[in-house]
Amino acid sequence: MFNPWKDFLDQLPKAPILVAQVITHRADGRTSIVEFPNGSQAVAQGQGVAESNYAFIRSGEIIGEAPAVTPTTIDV
Amino acid sequence: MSAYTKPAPYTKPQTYDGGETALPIVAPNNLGSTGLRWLDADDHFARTEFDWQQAQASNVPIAAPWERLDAFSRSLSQAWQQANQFGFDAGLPWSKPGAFAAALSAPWLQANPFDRAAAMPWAQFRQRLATQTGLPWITPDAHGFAAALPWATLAAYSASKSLLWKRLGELGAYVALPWGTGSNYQNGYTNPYVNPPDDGSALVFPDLPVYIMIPTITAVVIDGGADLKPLSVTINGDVDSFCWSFEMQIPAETFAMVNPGTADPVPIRVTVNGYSWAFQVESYTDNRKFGARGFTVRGRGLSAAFADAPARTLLQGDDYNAAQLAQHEIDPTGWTVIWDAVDWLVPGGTFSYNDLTPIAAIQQLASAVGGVVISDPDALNIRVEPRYPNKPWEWSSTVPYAIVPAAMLDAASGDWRGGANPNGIYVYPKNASSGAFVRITGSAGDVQLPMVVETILTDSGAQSARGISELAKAGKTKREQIPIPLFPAPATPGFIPLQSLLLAIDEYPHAPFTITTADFVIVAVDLTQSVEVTSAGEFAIDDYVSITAPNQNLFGQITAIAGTTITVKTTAIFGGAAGDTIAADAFFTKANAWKGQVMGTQITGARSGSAISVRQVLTIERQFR
Repeated sequence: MFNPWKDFLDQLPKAPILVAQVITHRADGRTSIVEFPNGSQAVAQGQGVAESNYAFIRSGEIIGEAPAVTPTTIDV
Repeated sequence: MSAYTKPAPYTKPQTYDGGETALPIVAPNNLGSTGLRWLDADDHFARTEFDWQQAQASNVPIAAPWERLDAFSRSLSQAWQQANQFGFDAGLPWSKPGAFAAALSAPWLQANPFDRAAAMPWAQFRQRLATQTGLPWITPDAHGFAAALPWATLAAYSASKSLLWKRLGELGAYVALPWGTGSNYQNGYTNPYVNPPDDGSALVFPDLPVYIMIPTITAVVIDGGADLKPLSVTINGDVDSFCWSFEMQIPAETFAMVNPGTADPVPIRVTVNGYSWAFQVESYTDNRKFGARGFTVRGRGLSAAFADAPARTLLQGDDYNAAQLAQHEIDPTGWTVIWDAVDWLVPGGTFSYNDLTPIAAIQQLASAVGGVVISDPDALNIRVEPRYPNKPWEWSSTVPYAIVPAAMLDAASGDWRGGANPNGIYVYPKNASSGAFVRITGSAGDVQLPMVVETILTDSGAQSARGISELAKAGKTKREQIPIPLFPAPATPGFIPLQSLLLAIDEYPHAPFTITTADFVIVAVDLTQSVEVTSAGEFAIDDYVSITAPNQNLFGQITAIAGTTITVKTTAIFGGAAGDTIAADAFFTKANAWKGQVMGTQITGARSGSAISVRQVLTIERQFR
């Protein structure tokens, strides 16, 4: 038998924590443009992290400063 | 002197004097059931000769039951004779020289006491009674332990009432008997074949037209060994549950022994065909109706105690490996964490939690590297394993745990889950600067999953393991549920461990590409044997084929095609010698071979009268990449 509880949890919406680099603070004073490790950009709520620094983002909101990370590629 | 008086001639008072009337002779009508009529016959014999004649005549029906008994006796012993012959002729697993000799030397071998009993005419009544009522008649002699009990009943039943064994033997049956190594209990004999050396190759389950199992189910209270007389039991386990769980029906009279009441849960041991699980009884429901009362008890494996323990809060200030952190959670209870997932050094101050039970803390550590927590069925071990011990994109070249022939796949149900088959993911730690982009070798890594950010993933090995797990989980999958036999060891297949990779030689839905051969030639007879067929058709190299020949089924993989000749490397030795021609009715069918990982197991056992049925249903995850 598969675990039905696990199946159910997999269906629920998730709000994972992400890491992105803050590119610019937008002129509205409330939002920032951030860039994720794969190069995609998005608008995130908040300007609490300085430009060019890294930020934790959850549900489109900057929630704190993250350490700078340069990923290494691992082939598996 | 008185005159000599000649005494009257002596006459037997019983002699018929012509004036008497012979007592009426009543034809005996119940001679077989009472001795009274025999007394009557004696009296008549003494008085009249006619009576005797008539008594003789009336004796005939008396003899009839004895005739029938004789016949009955003969038929019984003949049946056993056939059962013995079956053992030699049919090539049963226990007729192999070593195993067979071992079984013969076992003192509790059923046939011997039965033979002795059968030689005693009066014992027939007991046997007849036993076969009709289902009671074992020589239980104390024959059985040292409860597990062998059903065998006596079934053997007697089959011997007296049918030629089951003989007919099954003719069909080439595969019989798994539960008394393989039980002799250890009585005479210290140890079967040297229980754990054959593992050379790393796949188990090959025998491919036969008939499989026979003589199942056993027992359930006892671990403390004291009291029998719970289970009526049915269902055991569940899956990779996402940290312990096994069970549900069992027991009669009312044994319920008191496991009543959870106000005391601690009662540990019990459930054994199905020799495979045992330790559980604790945690809850029950009872059903009562006129004339019957039953209880259904439920519970989980003993490691469930770690989920019921008080929640704790921890800040680990020192450096420890993840495996050590997990072991700390359950010390000093006697349990062991066996950490088979990637282990890495977790820097001090990184591992911290609040209000988690011990098992939840271990799950947090395991899930960080995409691992799962499972418990051994009947040992104090908690295992942390990678969810996919072999990467799904490498399954095609991975040696499977076992090969399942189509003959065993008599039923299956599938559930297509879909998936995206992603090939790349970013895995970052929360408070360190070493992140990873995990990518499937040979791919561009352009189909990406959302990134994973986890506090304790500070090591590239751990990040890689987490990435593998996430990529594997998101694959295009289908879940197959297949029932396969749960044979008692050492017969295979026995209990299939969770996470085993199986290769199923399944049939095509529409059975395409079948060649019927007039004859084919065995090229060589050894473990790398090949078979040639003088026709090709729609086959390709590496295809799996099922070979159905008279009295033998095989499967194998095509290693070469030259013109109309296919060379097949079979997974078992074909009967016959090199150069033999196997004629008539043999045909090759292209098999639908697929691999999948066992993600869940359900074992059910039920008892109805003296009949027991046991099933093992595997939930297997296939991936399509």
